Amino acid sequence: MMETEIFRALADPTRRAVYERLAAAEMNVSELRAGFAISQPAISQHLAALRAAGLVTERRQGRFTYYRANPAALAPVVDWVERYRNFWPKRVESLKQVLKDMEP
Amino acid sequence: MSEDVRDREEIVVDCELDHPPAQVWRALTEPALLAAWLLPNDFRPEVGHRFAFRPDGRLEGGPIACEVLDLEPERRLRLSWASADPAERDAAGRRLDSVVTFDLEPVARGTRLRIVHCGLPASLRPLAGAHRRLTAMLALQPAVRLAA
Repeated sequence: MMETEIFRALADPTRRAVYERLAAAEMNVSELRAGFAISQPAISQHLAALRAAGLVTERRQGRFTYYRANPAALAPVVDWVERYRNFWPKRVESLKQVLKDMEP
Repeated sequence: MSEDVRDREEIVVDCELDHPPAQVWRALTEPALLAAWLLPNDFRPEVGHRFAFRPDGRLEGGPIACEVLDLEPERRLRLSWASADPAERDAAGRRLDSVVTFDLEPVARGTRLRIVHCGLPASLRPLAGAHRRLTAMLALQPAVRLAA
């Protein structure tokens, strides 16, 4: 199974934790770093990967850059689920009919 | 009937059918029968065979590119499932690939069939929950934190 950019970006547990913190509140790098035992350059690297996947957006204000999670990025995942949640139960109903109609 | 679709990121349909596994297996692996209940296809029961399901109104969108990943007669069929529909792409424009597993098990009544359509690595499931909460929050407070 080919992983998408989103899945790759979030495969790393630290990056996932960064994303989760940014889903709760907008933060700059030093605010974000406060919860992690890793260097600022490492945090910046994770942010760059999240931004490349469209999962995080940035906003500059004065000398600070603020980051936040982008809720639209995971939307295709949510849509995908909605679509197939309706699809499979209907197909199973058809399968039951096909089984009834089959020659034994 | 005990059909049950649970979990939002992994879709599971679990049901008991009134027919033996051998007959259910035919319905899963003979192209004409498979087309009758699922979608038109050029399936062949061979591991590694690449084929397509062609949606016809039962599912919106374009063809679904598949590969037979596992084939254990009367027990398990596993397919990769990748829609070519541009609507099913992530923010980076890549396809949202997934895997569909059909597990068969003989039971007194006939066959227990469990279909699992999995599109997300398990580690991401809590995140999609976080995403929904975030979306709901933003919908309620569209201007939140945007003011300088």
